[in-house]
Amino acid sequence: MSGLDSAADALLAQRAADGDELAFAVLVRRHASYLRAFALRLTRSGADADDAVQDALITAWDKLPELRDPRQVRGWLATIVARKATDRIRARRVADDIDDHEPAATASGPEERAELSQQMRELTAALDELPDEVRITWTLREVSGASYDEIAARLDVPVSTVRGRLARARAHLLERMMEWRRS
Amino acid sequence: MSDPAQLAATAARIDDAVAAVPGVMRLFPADSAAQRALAQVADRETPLPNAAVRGDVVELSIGVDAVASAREVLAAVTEAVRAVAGPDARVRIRIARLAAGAADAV
Amino acid sequence: MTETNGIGDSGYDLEALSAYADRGRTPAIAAIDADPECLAVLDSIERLGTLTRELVADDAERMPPPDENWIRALLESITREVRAGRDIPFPESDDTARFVVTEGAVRQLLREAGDAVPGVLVGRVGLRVTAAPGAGDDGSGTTEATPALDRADVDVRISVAHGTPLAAAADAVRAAASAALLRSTPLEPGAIDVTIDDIHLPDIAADPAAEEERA
Repeated sequence: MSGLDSAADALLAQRAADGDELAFAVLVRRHASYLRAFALRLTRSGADADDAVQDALITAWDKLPELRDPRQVRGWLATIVARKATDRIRARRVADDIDDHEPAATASGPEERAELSQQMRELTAALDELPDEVRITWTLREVSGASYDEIAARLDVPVSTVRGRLARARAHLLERMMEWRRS
Repeated sequence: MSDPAQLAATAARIDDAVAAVPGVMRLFPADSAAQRALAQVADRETPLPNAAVRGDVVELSIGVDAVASAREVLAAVTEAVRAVAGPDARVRIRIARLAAGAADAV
Repeated sequence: MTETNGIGDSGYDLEALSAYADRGRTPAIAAIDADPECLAVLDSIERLGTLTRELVADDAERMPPPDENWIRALLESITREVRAGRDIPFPESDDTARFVVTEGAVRQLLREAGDAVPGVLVGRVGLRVTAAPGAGDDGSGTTEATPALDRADVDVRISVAHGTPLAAAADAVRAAASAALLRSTPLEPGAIDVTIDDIHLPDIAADPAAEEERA
């Protein structure tokens, strides 16, 4: 059914909301890598990222009828992934060692990373230098476009804390960018 | 009086018989809620049967090929069930999915 | 960034600029908008955001596509009952053999019947089942030779590939829907409305330029 494979997100989301598992499967195939990359930026753990994406997709199936604008399905999926990922991070913190994260756990190995633009490599390094909660706040804001209120609710902190963390992230990243430009 | 193990064995044989009926694409758990509850405590090595056998009532949830005649398939499935469970078995069949054959190869 | 007047001569510090950027620079603050150093900082903040999004997109591209077994397992985990809808009985049911088909199954049937028409992609399917006049719900003990069937009124929204004649496509979908109902369900086809919601470019997968245009 190749027609479905190239159908627009909105049509697929409508059909999946109606109960079409095939349309849902196409959506999953189309967006899974992006969602996983996003989850990985948040959790810094491949296993947690995979679990978060899987949980999110199962939840998404149930909640698809609630999506008002089917064209926004990708962003909507990312929001659910963000929820599951941050839940996981919170549980991880309670359960075990906070320092137990793998900065190297990204999609690319050392060879591929050499191909990334210089800027992206430096940004990655700079992001990894940030404390977890600052990096997570940054990722939610810049990658999923969540509002201050949404981030505050998600992370269970006041809006002023969100504002402060974003400023701190930008201060660090801008400082790094100035260093790169100088060198 | 059938014990649970016997019922499960009968259900498994019904599963196999029904899956072999032309036009039947797949079986679903007849009682999803009960199945999910069982799945949490089951040993995971023996797959749970989809058919549900309660006394002389056999419940099925099936996916049927959309190009087949649904009534013919239902009649054939009823026959297949009674070949296993006896001619007096009462059947309750729910068609939960109607799709073209190829569509089920996800 | 440690000047007593904030950034440049604006009097606003980085935290204020950061929040200003996130607000989309509205309502406009003249002191910031007029200050070159502030504008440079705002620019850099925006570039950081863009770069981060590109980073994630790049990560995504470097990942292997999702494993088909993983997708299969995922589809097995989703709950089907949420979409099943009502049970529609086959009127020839009796106490020894009771047959039903779910509303969800009928909608999937209609969806795929429409998809099978060349150039057509089905979107939403609306289904309204009206009980046959005078028929009991369980259909048992009927004395009629052929029990009256429940009626299905259908509302199909479709997208048609550019170049496919529209009226013919709609007629074909109507015919396919009717035939599918008769073959696979205990429903009498009633009113079948086909609405063309959208035109799509044919076989986009073979034409990446067309997909670019659509985005």
